[in-house]
This record gives sequence, C-alpha cells and structure tokens, in this order.
Amino acid sequence: MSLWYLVIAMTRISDSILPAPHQVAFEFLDKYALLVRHTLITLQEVALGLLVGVPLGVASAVVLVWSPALERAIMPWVVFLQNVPKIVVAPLFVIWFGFGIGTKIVIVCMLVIFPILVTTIVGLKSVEPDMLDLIRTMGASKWQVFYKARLPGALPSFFSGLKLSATFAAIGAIVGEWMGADAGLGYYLLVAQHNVQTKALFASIVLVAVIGLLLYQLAVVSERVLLRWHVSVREEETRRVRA
Amino acid sequence: MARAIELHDIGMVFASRQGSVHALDEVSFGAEAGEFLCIVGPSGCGKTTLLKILAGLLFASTGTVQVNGESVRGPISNVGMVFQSPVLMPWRTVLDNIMLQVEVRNLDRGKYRQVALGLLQLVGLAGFERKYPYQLSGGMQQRVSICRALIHDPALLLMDEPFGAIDALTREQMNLELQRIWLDHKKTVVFVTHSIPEAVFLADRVLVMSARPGRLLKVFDVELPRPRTLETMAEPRFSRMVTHIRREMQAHGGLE
Ligand SMILES: Nc1ncnc2c1ncn2[C@@H]1O[C@H](COP(=O)(O)OP(=O)(O)OP(=O)(O)O)[C@@H](O)[C@H]1O
Ligand SMILES: [Mg+2]
Repeated sequence: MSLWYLVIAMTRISDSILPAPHQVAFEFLDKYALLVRHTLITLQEVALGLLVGVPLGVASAVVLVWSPALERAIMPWVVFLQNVPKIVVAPLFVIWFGFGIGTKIVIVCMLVIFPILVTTIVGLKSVEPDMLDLIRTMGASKWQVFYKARLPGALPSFFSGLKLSATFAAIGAIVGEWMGADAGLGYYLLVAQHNVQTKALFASIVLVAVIGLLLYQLAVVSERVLLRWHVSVREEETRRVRA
Repeated sequence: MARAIELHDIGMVFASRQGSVHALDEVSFGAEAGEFLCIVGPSGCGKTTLLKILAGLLFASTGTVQVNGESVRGPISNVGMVFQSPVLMPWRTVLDNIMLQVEVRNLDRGKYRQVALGLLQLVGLAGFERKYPYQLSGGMQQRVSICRALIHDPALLLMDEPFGAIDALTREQMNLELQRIWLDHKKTVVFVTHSIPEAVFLADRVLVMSARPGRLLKVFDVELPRPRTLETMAEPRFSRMVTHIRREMQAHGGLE
C-alpha cells in the first residue's frame, strides 16, 4: 500500500493511469450499486459453473476409476482437450450457446472440471492395498468398497482440486463475459477500459480478486470441517493452538 | 467333516519387472476346526503371503487351498483378519473402525455396538471409543484392529504378528485374553509371530518355516495343558520346547 503511494508520489503519474488507493476506495462508495449489480452477476455465473462443474468432475472421476478400460480410452483425450487454451474455444461456445449465461457457465465448467477430475482420480486410487484386502474379507460388494473406503479416502485429494478450481472459476466467467455480455464484471471491465476509467478498472480488478478469494476460503473452511482427521488439517490446527 | 483349512503344495512366485521372487515352495498343512496354529519363520519367508493366500486375497502360483472343504477362489468372508499393520481408516473413530465389520456385513448395529465396547474393554482400551487412530499409539491401534477382527465372531481367525508393536507386559495380557476367547469360542486360529515363546504359549501346533523360498521345516505339537497361565512359561517343558524350536530355526540359518 505504501509502496503504491510512493510510486505515485515519485513519478507524479496522472490518476487516469494509476489512481491512488483512496481514489479507488472512493470509486467503491460512488458506484456502490452499479458495482454490486455487476459483481452479483459474475458471482452467479461462477457459482452456477462450479455447481455444475464440480459434480461433473467428481462423477467423471468415479466412472473412470470404476472402469480402467474407459480411463485408458478417455483420459488421453481429456488431457489433449485440457491443453487447448480455453480462451481459444470460447468464441465457439458463443456460437453454440449464445450470449446468455449458458456460455459463461460452460466456460467456468471447463476450467473447473480438469483439476477436480485429476485430483479426485488420484484420491480414489490411493487406498492402501491392505485396506482393500481387509474390506474384502468382510465380504464387501464393489459398491461398499467404493463408498466405505475409496470415497472418504479421496476427500483430501478432492479438496486440493476444489481449491484450484475455486481460483480458476472467476477467470472462466470473465472470459465468457468478454466474448459478449451486457452485464457482469468482465463487461464492466471492458466498458471502463473503453472510456479510460482507470478507477473503475481497479475497482473491478479488486472485486474479481475478492470473488476468487471468497470461493477459495469457502473451500478451505469446508475442508477444515470435513477433514478434521487428515494430517494437513491437523497440523494447521496444532500450529494455531501453539500460536 | 471336512477340515477347517487345508493347504496342499502351495507355491508362490511374485513376478515383477525387476525379476521374480520365489516366496513359497511346496507348503502343505491343515487344521481341524478349533485348532490353534502358530507359524514362526525368518523375516521375508512368506508368512504374510501364506495368510493372504489362505484368505483368498492372493492366488497361489501352484497348489490348492480349501476352507471348510470348499476350494478358495476369491476372498473368503467367514474370517477375521488382523494384518501386520493396523490398517485403520483415519476418518473413523476407534468405535466406528470396529463397526466397519458390522456395517459391511449388515449386522444389527445397536447390538454389536455393545459387543464392540466390550471388546475394547477387554483389550484395555475402554474410554477410547471416540478417539481417532492418530490419537492412539501403534500398539493401541493394533489392539483396535484385533477387536475389529473378533466382533463378528468368525469361525476362522488369521492373525499376522498382531502383538508385534505391543510392550511385553500388555502382550502377555493379550496372549491370555486371546487364549480365553479361543477357549470360549473354539475358533480355528492361524497366528504368525516372531516370538517363539509366544508361539509355544498359544499354539496347539507350531509350524516352523525356512528362509525364502519359504518351506515348512517342521511341525511341533505343543502338549501343554490348557488353560495355560503365566506360570506355564516358567515350567521346564515350556522352555525345553522353546529351545527345541529355536535350535531348529538356527540349524536352518533363520534366526528371528
Ligand atoms: N506383492 C508382492 N510383490 C512382489 N514380491 C512380494 C510381494 N509381497 C511379498 N513379496 C515378497 O515375498 C517374500 C515374502 O514376503 P512376506 O511379506 O510374505 O514375508 P513375511 O514372512 O511376512 O515377512 P515378515 O516377517 O518380515 O513380515 C518377500 O521376499 C517379499 O519381498
Ligand atoms: Mg509379514
């Protein structure tokens, strides 16, 4: 923050290039209603994208772990698709799904699915062999093996995927809005850029970051609640108790 | 009536990219229902492998396995198994880890909850039912896994060095308890251990295995009267038996 002020003072830069923090703060107060409206729209796209993408990623992971043959057949394609930059295919989605919220949700989904898929697959596969043997001596069905041993064991890994996804999701929504939209922070960014409203630009950047941070924290909190037993959570708790 | 277990000419070769390991060679033995067998042998001689083959978790390269007269073709389920490590689910409490056995078998949870608490008391873990595995020592965790193997009262008990991580005093207590449970319920037990005195204390018969590839060197009948007590271990015939078995193992270059 002080560095920010220092740079402004030293370079005497115009506030239309680099506004001071307090000017950005005033911008928030000034355009409060407008910013909230656009933020809520982007937030909605991000949330819906996650709500569709995360279950889809988990479900695909489950199917692929269930059937190794399917995994061998499909995984190379998934990796290939993942290596196509999403921004390149975004225009295609606009043609397919139009300028509405659908396109944004699809793009968020695409960004979210891959990390969830990869981490959940690793999680589902990392059950100790002895644990699998043990539960088999109990006469467990394949289904029981799955939800008693594999699924809970996959949670730590799944949550690392979820945290990654939470930070990617906002990018998806912004890119979607850049392809064409009449509302949302991505749209607002474009308008601000067009009119050289630097303060508005900074305000939207802050808001995009806040959305990402918010989602990340949400993932962290749910992880802490669900994974009390896991080493990573336990260590953090001991550290907090000591501090 | 068919014998409780019957292994015939079991051979096991693990093939891997680094070459193959000949783990077991022509191992044959059996047990009547209610018999207590102990297996001793040097580390890496194939004891764990043998137990897993018996449980239908591994398939022998050669030979046949029968349990209650039926050929084993997949994991058997009328069994309680204690692995060399505790194998507890870190996300379940002590009680819920034991109850896994009950849940998977669709038994009456209310009734078996009481059984589980009784077993925990028996192994000296009363009051720990709500703890998580990481809050327990290695030896305590292993005792939880013993409760889990006993709760459904299986006819066959396979135990792989279950008391390896337990201090000497507690170990004696556990041996006494295990004998008592066995006398009460007449299970067939196959018990792997590194301790020759423990084997002699518990077993009807002690099976001595050679270093890899594991062969059955000799079978010792232990004819000490039951119930055996801590005094039994002070008896001359007890130590004679122990010395005898130790000599047999030393002669084949396999000391514990
Ligand atoms: N899954 C496997 N793949 C390859 N080799 C294996 C496998 N499991 C066991 N072995 C090999 O088989 C041999 C016997 O192993 P096993 O675990 O049965 O020994 P053990 O008698 O139980 O030893 P310990 O007393 O140390 O537990 C060892 O040499 C081991 O390296
Ligand atoms: Mg072993």
